[in-house]
This record gives sequence, C-alpha cells and structure tokens, in this order.
Amino acid sequence: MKTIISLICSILLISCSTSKMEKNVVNELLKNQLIKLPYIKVVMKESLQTLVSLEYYEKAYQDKNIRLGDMIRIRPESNPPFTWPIDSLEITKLKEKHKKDTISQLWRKNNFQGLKLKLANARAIKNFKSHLSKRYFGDEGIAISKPIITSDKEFVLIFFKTFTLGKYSNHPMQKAILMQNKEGSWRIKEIYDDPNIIY
Amino acid sequence: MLQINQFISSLYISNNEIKGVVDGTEWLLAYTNYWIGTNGGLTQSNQIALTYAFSNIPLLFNQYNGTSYEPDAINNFKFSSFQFLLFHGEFLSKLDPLTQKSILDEITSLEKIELINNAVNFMNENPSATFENTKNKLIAEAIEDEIDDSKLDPCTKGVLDKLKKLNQNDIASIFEKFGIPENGTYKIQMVMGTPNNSAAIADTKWLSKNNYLITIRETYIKGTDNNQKPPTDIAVAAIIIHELIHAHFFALFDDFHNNGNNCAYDNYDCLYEKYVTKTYIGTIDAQHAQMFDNYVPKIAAILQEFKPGLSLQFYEDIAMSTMYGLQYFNDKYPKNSPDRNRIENNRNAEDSNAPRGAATPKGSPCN
Repeated sequence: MKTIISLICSILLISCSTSKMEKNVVNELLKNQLIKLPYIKVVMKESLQTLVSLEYYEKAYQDKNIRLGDMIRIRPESNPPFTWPIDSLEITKLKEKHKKDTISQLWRKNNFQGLKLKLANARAIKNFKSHLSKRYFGDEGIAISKPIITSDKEFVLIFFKTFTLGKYSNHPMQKAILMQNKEGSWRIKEIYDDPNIIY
Repeated sequence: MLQINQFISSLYISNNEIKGVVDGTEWLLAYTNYWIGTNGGLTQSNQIALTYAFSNIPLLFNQYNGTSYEPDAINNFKFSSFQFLLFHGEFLSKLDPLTQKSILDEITSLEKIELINNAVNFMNENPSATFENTKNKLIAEAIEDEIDDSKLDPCTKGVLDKLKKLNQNDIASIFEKFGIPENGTYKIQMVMGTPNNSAAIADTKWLSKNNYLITIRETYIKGTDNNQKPPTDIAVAAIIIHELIHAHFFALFDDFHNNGNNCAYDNYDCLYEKYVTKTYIGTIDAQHAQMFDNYVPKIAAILQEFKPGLSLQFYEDIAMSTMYGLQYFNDKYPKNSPDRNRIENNRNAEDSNAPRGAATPKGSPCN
C-alpha cells in the first residue's frame, strides 16, 4: 500500500508539476521511491476525472461527525483524531475552479521520465486478449486523476485506481490521497476511501 | 380440578413477583389450565414444569426490552416465553444453574425464542451437547440459511449450494469457528452483477445495519468478457468463501457498534485495533489482515472438502490466491519466486479453465 501510494505521489507530482518546486519534489520522490515498486508496471494513459478526489474528501468531511456504526460514505484510513485542512469554503472554491475540468487528459511519456512504467490506453488495458495484457499478465497497473491544488498551494488531492493486467483483480484499490507540502517536501497527510465496500 | 387450582394457587402466592406477573397477564391462568388439561393433567413432570415456568416468568417477561416491539408483539413474546418454559421446564430444571441462566438469558426476542427452543430440543436429543456449542451451530446454520441467492446464476448458485451442504467445513463453519454474531437476523444477499470497481472480480458491501450484499462479476462467471472461458467451480467457490468472510466481518462490526455485543471482536485483533482502540497500523486494510491471520487454512479446508482428492498444496495455493495483490501477499511471495509462480498458475488455470504454466485446471466448468 505504502509503495503504491509512493508511486502515485511520484506520478502525481510529475504529471501536475508545472512549477520548478514541484519538479524538484518529483525528482526527489523518484529517486527514493521508484526502486520499491516492482509490481506496478503500467500506467493508464487517460487520467481519471479530476473532481473525484475532491468529492471523496467532501463526503468524508461532511460525514466526519457520524457515529461509527451508521452509514459513513467516505472515511479517512488513518486512526482518529482526524484533521480537516480543507474547509467547506475551500471545497466550494476548488469545485468551482475545476468544474469544467472534465476532459480526460492523456499522460505523456515525458510525464514519467525516469520511471520504468509502460503507458497504455484504457482499451488495451481492458482487453484481456491484447498484446499488452498478455505481456504484462498478472502485473499491476494504475490509473490516476489530475491533481487538485489548494489555493494556498499547501495541499494536493488526487484520486487513483489500481487494476491487474490480463484478468480481473482480487483486490483493486480506489482511493483519494491528500498530500501536504512540508518545507518543500510533499508528504501524505491522509488517504480516503469507502469503508462500506471491500474486495 | 381442586388439586389443580390448589397447585396453581400455591405457585401464585409463593412470590410477589409471580403474583404481579399473573395479575398483569390476563391469559396466563386460563392458558395454564388449558395446558394442564391437554398435557395429561397434573402429573409429576407437569408439576415440575409448571413450577419452573412460574418461577421464571418474572425474569423472562421483561427480557424483550432491547426490542422495539409494539404491544401485540410484547404479548406474543410473553406467550411464547411461557410456552417455552412449560415445554422445557422439566428438562431445564435438571441442568446446572449456570447453564440454565445462560439459556434463559438468551430469551430476548421472538426470533431468539425460536432459536433457543431448537437448541434445547437438540440438547434433549443429544445429552452430550453443550448449550454454547449447540447455540453456535444453530446460529451459524440460521445465518447460512439467510443467504439470499435468488439472483444468482445457476452456476454460482450450484457452487454455493454445494458449499452449504459440506459435512465438516461448510459455510456455516466459517461463522462457527471464529465466533458467532450476537444477533442472528442478518440479511446477506448474493448476486451476479457488476462490482463497484470496474477491475474487481467481486465485492462485499455493507448496505445498512445487518444488511450486506455480495456481488460477483457476471462477465467473469459467464466468461463472456474478452472471450475468456468461464472459470471452474473451484475458482468460484474460493471467491464465494472469501466474500462471505468479509460479510462475516461486517456482521461483527454491526454486533459491536449496533447490536450491543462488546465481545464481538474477541479473537479478532486486527478488527479490534481498527474499530475499538483505533490504533490499527498495517500495510493492508484490517479485514484482509485478519483474514491472513486466521482464515487461509480454513479456506483451504473448505475447498478440500468441496473438491476432494487433490494435493494439500493445491488447496493452500487457491486459498492464498484470494489474497493476491495485497501487500502481505507481495511481501510473502515476491515476484517471480517459485511459490508465487505456482500460486498464480494454479489460480489462473482455475479462473480461465485452461492450462497455465505447469498448472492444469482441476475444477469443473459449470457453464
């Protein structure tokens, strides 16, 4: 799990980094994390819907006071007490900013420079008989969203899904990640997922 | 008749609590007379049963308080409790006091009366059976019977039916072996359809309190997607067992948080840390960590009885393959290691009903 998250961080920061600072962070993560990721081999070319990560966070935020045992739609994975660095005003602002961001961006090879990852389109991934599926049979792949950066540039939200090449997955993941910029270094602050579904 | 009236009168005045219950329950004396009349009169056995019943009605008549019963249901509860006491009074009176208390403490709802009635009947016919074991067995069977398979395809339904009928290691034993949920009124529905995640083979959802849905991917079962062949019954059985364990974990969650069972997580360290002490830290989620800790040999044993005659290694491989993709699995079986290759090949052969590496499918296709 941690290694997958680390990969996501790497990819996220490569893909979304337009600033010099972010590129530096990406390079740092690449050097430190890539070597730990022997199972993720493929990245889906098409990005996932940008707003999903924010929707996950928003549901968790709205359900933060619901008693454990009642229906909680999305919940932080860590142990309480939880912190909520993005408030409802900022959520509204970010939603407005990204509401038209529905076009599936295509990742490019130079987004993942230095990573030994195969970029593949969704159609080839979903076809278990494709050359890609046969070549990478049983390996794991990942699909990620474009990141959402908070107004103060201190936090980033991203959504990801994992899948298995060539067959259905026993344990796919789909989670939102909140990252925090700490003195120029991006750290995972929290992970959010649906506690009511398990694979 | 005089003797009967004297006997009942002596019970009535023996205790103020009994007197209060009798005075407040208009049908009680009439039914007592009817019961004596239709059960051979005031025999020695019936006197023991009546004494036992009257002595315990003050306790039982108030044990519905955890329910949300309307007056009619409360009356039904009291009537059924009294019948239970009359019917089993003589037998119960011969048990040790602790067992008697354990049995009577369980009489808390109409559903529980039916269950405990069956348990006591079983104990009556099987003198060596203990109450706890009997109760657990019956609850597990009741949960198993509650699995709604009406929306399953014939293939998956057939596999589930076969799993239910196993002698030693059937589905019920999953519930029995690792603890019994406090409240036996769960709804578990199993359907063939589309899991929440587009890449998933199956999933289990907590829909609401005590209500769970297991979805197994239709295109996987039918083998229609990407021109795959349908899986064998062994692969389908492994998936069903895995998802039912998740449903069981959700039931434990409800027992602890919604059904008032503070002991629901006894022997489930990972779940206890996740939901009670809230200190769980792991590389995978708590449910799968718990499954790794407790259930892999159990899944293998069920598969062995489901399809006997194969190597122990094969059953263990298929059981372990249900953990494929989790960090624990990756850590234990590194990529390209011989063990991992064997597990992958064995499972993939069953998933696709076709040879994979050195493995050939051992199960039977049902489509």
